[in-house]
Amino acid sequence: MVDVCWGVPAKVLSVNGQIATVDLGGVRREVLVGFEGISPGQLVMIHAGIAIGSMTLEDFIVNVTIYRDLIEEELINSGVTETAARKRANEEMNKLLRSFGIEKSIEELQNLPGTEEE
Amino acid sequence: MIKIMNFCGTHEWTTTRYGIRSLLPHFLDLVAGPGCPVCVTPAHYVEAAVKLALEGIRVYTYGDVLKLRGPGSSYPASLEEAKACGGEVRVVYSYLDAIADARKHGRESVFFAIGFETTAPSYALPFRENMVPENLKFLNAIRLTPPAMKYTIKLYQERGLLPIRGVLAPGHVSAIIGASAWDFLPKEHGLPTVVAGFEPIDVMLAVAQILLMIRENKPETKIEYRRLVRWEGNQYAIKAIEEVFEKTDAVWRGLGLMPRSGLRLRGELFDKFDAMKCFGISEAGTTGHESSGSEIPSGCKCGEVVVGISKPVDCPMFLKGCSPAKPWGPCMVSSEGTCNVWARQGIKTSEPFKGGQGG
Repeated sequence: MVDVCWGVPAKVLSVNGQIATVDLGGVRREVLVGFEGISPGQLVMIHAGIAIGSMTLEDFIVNVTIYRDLIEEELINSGVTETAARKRANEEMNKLLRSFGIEKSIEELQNLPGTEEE
Repeated sequence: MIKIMNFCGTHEWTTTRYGIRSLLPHFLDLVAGPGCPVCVTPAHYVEAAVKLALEGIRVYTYGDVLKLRGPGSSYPASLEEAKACGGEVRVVYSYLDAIADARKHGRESVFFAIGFETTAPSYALPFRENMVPENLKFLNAIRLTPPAMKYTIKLYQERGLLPIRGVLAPGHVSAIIGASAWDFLPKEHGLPTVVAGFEPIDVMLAVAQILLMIRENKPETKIEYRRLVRWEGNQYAIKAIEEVFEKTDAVWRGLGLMPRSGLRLRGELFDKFDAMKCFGISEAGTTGHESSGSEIPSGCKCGEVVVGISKPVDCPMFLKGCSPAKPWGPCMVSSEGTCNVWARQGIKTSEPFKGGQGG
């Protein structure tokens, strides 16, 4: 993810002063702490390398479709074919879900009317 | 016809990708606003970044800035082209990554800092915490969104266009500045305003809330994106921004100079880190109006697309001389730019949008 303006969810692994280490779907990344009260285990929104706020697991699941689609968008943007991007976006999303302790896959969660791709 | 503006580039992405326009009643025109920081970054900043890269100064930036073109058609006009010519250009995920790299190599470098209020704390915090090495200068293109919304409303009035009747305020910007930052819209302009999330259902709900407020003639600021946005915003981040930056007049590409719509480093930080000052680059364009026209490449309608007056399909260059693979105008560059969104997602909608002519 290298675009400036997409927000992506991640799980806080540890906090050291101004820097937090987060799990972005299996990828560890150091980000800046941009709000008060951050703690390990929290789900946070990352925006250009800074955690801007926390959210609940329920909130995250509500957003699950768009995060998957944004990952796919990024992959297509970087030259991956649509089919491959769709497959990889699902894989990435499932990694992210597992890191949040959610057993259901994106395919199961996304099985809602209107969210299926044609 | 009721015109509603979605300010944010990600809202435009959601609207277009999920074909929301084809679901809206025919009397509703949902138009995109100036909510893409890449699109509004002045061309002469790109020119400066390209020049520095070619001089061997390492330029860090985000991936969606690479293809952004400076003024004119000379080569190299973008950082991508500068890189192809041997210029030192590095794509980073965040300012923090650039800081780590600049610290390691210790040579002159510059961070091309674009972004709105959401990105501003990612710059403010490292400065406040003295994390930025002196060899990493700051090419500052941070822009503030409420003044741009104000400007856009005024522009519609001045041009006698069908006025904007409601606003979908940006979600992640508001996570920082708070929904209260948009309260001038209902209070001063009578515009129903909803801070919305980025799921299709968020956008639909926000549009419905705006329509209800219009019908009842009770304009307010509402938060639909309660998952992340509070009325007062993120005070910690706001404080960090205020400690490090001060508001300044700033040029928006295609729109010109807007009062107090940018941030500049305060006092000593400015002297030490501001790239324009440190590398002796003149702030061309800050004198105002003449810059807004010349900053848009010839034949390109981004100056109108960026404020929702024209649709991408109204531009003669759209998907002809200007495409996501080879963008000519600034709105085609970033995945948040309206033209880029339409070019890549428009064909997915069930029905091509044939709405208003933007006036």
